[in-house]
Amino acid sequence: MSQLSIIIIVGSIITVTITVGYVLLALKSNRTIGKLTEQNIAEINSINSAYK
Amino acid sequence: MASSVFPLTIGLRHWKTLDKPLRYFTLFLLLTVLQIGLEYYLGRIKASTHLLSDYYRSIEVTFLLLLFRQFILPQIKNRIVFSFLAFYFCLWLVVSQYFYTPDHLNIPMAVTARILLVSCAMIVLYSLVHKTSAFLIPIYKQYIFWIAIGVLTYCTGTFMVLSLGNEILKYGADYFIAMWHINWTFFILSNMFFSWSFIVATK
Repeated sequence: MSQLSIIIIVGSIITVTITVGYVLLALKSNRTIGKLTEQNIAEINSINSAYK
Repeated sequence: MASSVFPLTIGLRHWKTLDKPLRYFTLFLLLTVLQIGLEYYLGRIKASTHLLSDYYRSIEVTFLLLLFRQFILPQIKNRIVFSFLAFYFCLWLVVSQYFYTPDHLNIPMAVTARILLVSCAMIVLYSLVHKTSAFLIPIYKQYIFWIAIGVLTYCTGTFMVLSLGNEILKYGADYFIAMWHINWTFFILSNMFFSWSFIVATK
């Protein structure tokens, strides 16, 4: 009975940890892409203003 | 049950300002509350709730997959969601015809539903990161992100306890209730995320 409890608790911790890792990865990717987009927009704006 | 009333109340209160997917999600929460209420009543009169849980699970999978469909990348959304639904219902027919016993939890379908919902929620997160609109609006400011997190938390957290449900039942009702606290904890947590999704949407 206690062995079953350990399997359930450890298994639950592992599955939740994998999920949290995936979500954190998604947030990190979103942040990186957001920063790169902002940089690109700034570069485009500076090129545009140089042409004007 | 009280925890699922909370996001439903927020949803109903802001019904007029909600967009179509969130209204759809509010309806799903209403069905969830009704199902939990009915399960509670059946439990009080000592009737089995397994069949109700089994039917509700199909509704849950259909509602959530169709909700997620609207946020998956356009080139893959129909292929993924409709193949998941077709797979689930084909398996449901086979399991209910040949393997289902009413006095046991329908573990194969419960596990399949969790796997499909987790996969779809992960695809939604992937799609959010790769959508052009997500470049300028952080994904945590989009309500579907919190709905996906709620689904992920509940499905992954209860995966083990659900998949070993019939094994737990063999040790008696007291042990089952003790282990079922894991399910209730993750259910409350997921409802907190669902409530937050409404707050994010109405800000």
